[in-house]
Parts: sequence; C-alpha cells; structure tokens
Amino acid sequence: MNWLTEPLSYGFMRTGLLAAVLVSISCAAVGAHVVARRMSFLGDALAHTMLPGIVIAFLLGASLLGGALVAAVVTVLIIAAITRGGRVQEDAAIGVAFTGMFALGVMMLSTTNSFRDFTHILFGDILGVGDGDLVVLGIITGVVLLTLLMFRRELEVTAVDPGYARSFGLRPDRVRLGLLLLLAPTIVAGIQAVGVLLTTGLLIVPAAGAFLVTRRFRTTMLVAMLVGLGASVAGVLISYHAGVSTGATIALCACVGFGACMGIAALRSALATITSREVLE
Amino acid sequence: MTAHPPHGPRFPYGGRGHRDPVPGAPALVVHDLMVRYPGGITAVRSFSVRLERGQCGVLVGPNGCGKSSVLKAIAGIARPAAGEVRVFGNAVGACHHRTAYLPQVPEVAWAFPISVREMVMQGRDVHMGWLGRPRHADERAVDDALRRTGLEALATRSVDALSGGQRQRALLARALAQESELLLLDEPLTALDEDHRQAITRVINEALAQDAAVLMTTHHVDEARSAGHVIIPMRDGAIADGNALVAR
Repeated sequence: MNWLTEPLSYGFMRTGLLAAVLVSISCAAVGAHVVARRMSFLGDALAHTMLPGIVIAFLLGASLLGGALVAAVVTVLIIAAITRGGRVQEDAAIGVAFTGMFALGVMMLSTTNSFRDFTHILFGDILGVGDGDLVVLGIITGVVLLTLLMFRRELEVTAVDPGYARSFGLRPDRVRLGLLLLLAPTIVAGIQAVGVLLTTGLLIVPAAGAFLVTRRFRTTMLVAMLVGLGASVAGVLISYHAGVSTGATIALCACVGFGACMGIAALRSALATITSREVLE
Repeated sequence: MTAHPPHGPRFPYGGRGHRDPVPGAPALVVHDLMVRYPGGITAVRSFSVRLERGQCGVLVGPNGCGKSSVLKAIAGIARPAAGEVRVFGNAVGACHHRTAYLPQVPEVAWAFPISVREMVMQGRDVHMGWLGRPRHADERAVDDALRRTGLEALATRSVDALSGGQRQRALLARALAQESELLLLDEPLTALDEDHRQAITRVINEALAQDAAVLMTTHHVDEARSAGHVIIPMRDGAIADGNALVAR
C-alpha cells in the first residue's frame, strides 16, 4: 500500500498523476474515433508536425503549447489543401506534411543551441505540470468529451457511410475537419504527458486495444479510456519507484494494456471455437 | 409513407428545413444531366428522366455505364456538371428527408463497431438534425423497418458479423427508416438469394403502393420487368433508347 501512497505524499506527484489521468482520458476518447476512421498515421504525424510551432513559440517567448496548437491546425489545413480535388491520396499528403513540418522543426531547433529546453516537449514532462497547466488540461478534456458526446451521431454516420451522410446534407469532409481540429488540442495535451515522440502511446494504442475486445463503439471508447487511464496511473507510479522516464513508462504501460487486450481477444476466440466444436459434436 | 411532422429538426443538416412538395410536381424530374468526375471523366451525359409518385424506374446496363452516378447526382452526393434535377418540384438538397439513398454494400465501413439497429437508426438522423436525440417516433420507424426487412432477430448483432445479403437488407432497412418519398436504391437486390430478392421486391412494391417513387439499379432485369417496373436501359452515360413512359 505504501508503494501506492508514498509517491502521492508529494504535491508534484499528485498534480502529475491528475494531469496524466486527464490527458489519457481525452487522448483515448479522440483516439477511438481516429482508429475507427483508420487515421492512426495522421494522429502520429500530427504530433510530430507540432515541432516547428513549438520552436517558433520558444523563440518568440510565447506559450509552447499555443505554438504547438497553431502548428497542428496549420498541418490539418495543409493536408486538406493537398488532398482537395482528389488527385493526391490522404496518406501521401500526410507523409508530405509530416516530413516537411518535422524537418522544419528540427532545422529551427538546430539554430537555437538549446536542445535541452526542448527535451520535455520531445519526451514529455508530466511531473513538471503546474496548476495553470492542469486547468488547461482540464478544459481540453472537458471540451473534447462534451464535443464527442454532442456530435456522436454525426461522427458515427460520417465514419460508417460518408456517401449516405452527404445525401441528407451532412458534410463528411467538414465533420472530419472538425475531428482533426479536436485532435490538435488533444495531442497538445498528450505532448505534455509523453512528448511529441510518444503521443501515439496515449492516442492510438489504448483505442487499438479496445477495438479488439469490444463490439459497440460506446464501449470501445470506454475501454480505451480505461486502458489509457490504467497506463497513466501505472506509468507514473512505476517510473517514480524505478527512477525512469515517466512519459516512456506511460507509453510502455499502454503497450502492455494493448497486449492484454490482444490476449483477451485471443482467449475469447479460442473459447468460441471450442464451444462451436462442442455444439457440432 | 408516414406523414412528416409540420416542423423538421431544430438544427437541420445543410441548413435546409422540411420543405413541402410543389403541388402537382412529379416525384423526380431530371433534365439533360451531366456528371463529371475529377480528371475529366464524364460518367453521365444528357440523361433525362421523369418519375411520378407510385412509379418505379429501373436503370439497367453494363458496369460503368453511369447508373450509380445518376443516383448519386439525384441524392446530392455527386454535383452535376450540367442539367437540372428537381425532387417533388424542389432543387436537390432543398428537402433532404424526402430522398433516401441506398449505396452499394462495398461503399460502407462495415468494420465500424455498431449494431444493426444503430445502423438503421442512422436513417432517422435527417429527422433529428444537429444535437437531436431519438424519440418514440424514431424508435417506431426503426422497429418497423427492421420488421419489414426481416432483420428483427439480428437487431443487436454487430454489422461486421452480417452476411452479404444481410448487409444489403440492413442498408434497405436504413433507407426505409428514413420514411422518404423518393427511394434511390443502388443494386438493392445484389447478393440476395431468391427468397430475399422476392421479399425486398415486396417491400419496394409496398413503398410504391404508399405513393413513394423509386429509382433503382439492378442486374435482375427480368424480375424488375415482371414486377411491372419501368426499365431504363443505359449505355455510355446516357439512356440507350428513348422511353416514352419516363424519359421526356
């Protein structure tokens, strides 16, 4: 029990844990939509393309998270512009935007001579979260969950059958753009926890695991949030005791959660096979 | 078809509300329609058709002759490069709830984790609009559509666990749940065995008897002809020969 309570006797640990919980919930909820729409590559790419925004914000002395947000929105608009007209496939457009933006970020980073200032952006710094950041993360999580709840039907029908949705006046491209704009602050929150390089760990991995063990989208979102939440709590506690990077530990715990989901799915499939064999006999 | 409430959703999609049909207007009038896709490919050229309430037009022809593109243009999915489409006297999109579109099975993301009932409920989305929630009338319409298509027993099953024929029926149930007056059905009889083809044909005939109009594509020409439907042969994006009943 002391293993659990001792880290929480420190204020920064309590704040960090709460931040990790908020981030994991919003990332998993949006991640479920991202995985369902086969946009996982975009989610990962978007996290990387935020780098130039962060560097510019640093050089201007502005909010790094604000810079990341602007870069994410710019990336989304660049991808939309490249794919407009249908001549370039979206995965190719993502590859172009991803490479261009990340290369620009690394190039700008090399001019600052202060790589150390950016390590928390690259690898996360959940234990360095202040009260102000916590409020921002809380607002992002609230807005994300509320938006997904309010537009649940529109998100689902445009994902299942965009042609049908268009036939009754919904614009699937705009709904998708809305989801991408929601994804941007979510990834910014994810960067706070696990950094640019490991955001996929909270965005994609829990949702990918949840899809293996669920048959209804609402349950998928719930299980994804639980996996992300478990990974965050376990990651923060394990990293404290082992003295290792918190962001990396959270991402690794999410992968363990994915593995557990795979195991459950395989077990369920084996049981179903045995049952059907017994019925046939 | 069920009478529509005098007021549509509070926040309708596309910003268009429930608009009444123009008195005396045919269910569908298409005049000199041309559909062109990116890259300059012309899928439909100079296509005209006219359907009255209670009438079923059946587009037939080889693959790639433009049948699906005609339906997509009328449904508002493909934008016409030229020509005019009027649905109950109104422009396309003036009243979305009056037109229900059934896509071909491969165009749907069946891996998305929803039940058959949830998919059929999507047919009610146009009546709910932004921020709307299903009401008793929506639940009743879904129950009715599931019953008519023989899917009641599969209502809670995931759509990715359905066979090809069951998927076809689920899409038809969704179109029926919309309670529209113009049904645009792209290959509704594909992947169905004979019993289910007859059942679906019966459902289509019921809709026609309730004064709806139907425009559909099919490869089962003989069944469509024996059901008394109007055959509209297509070739290279246009009507292959003049049809006095529907093409004006």
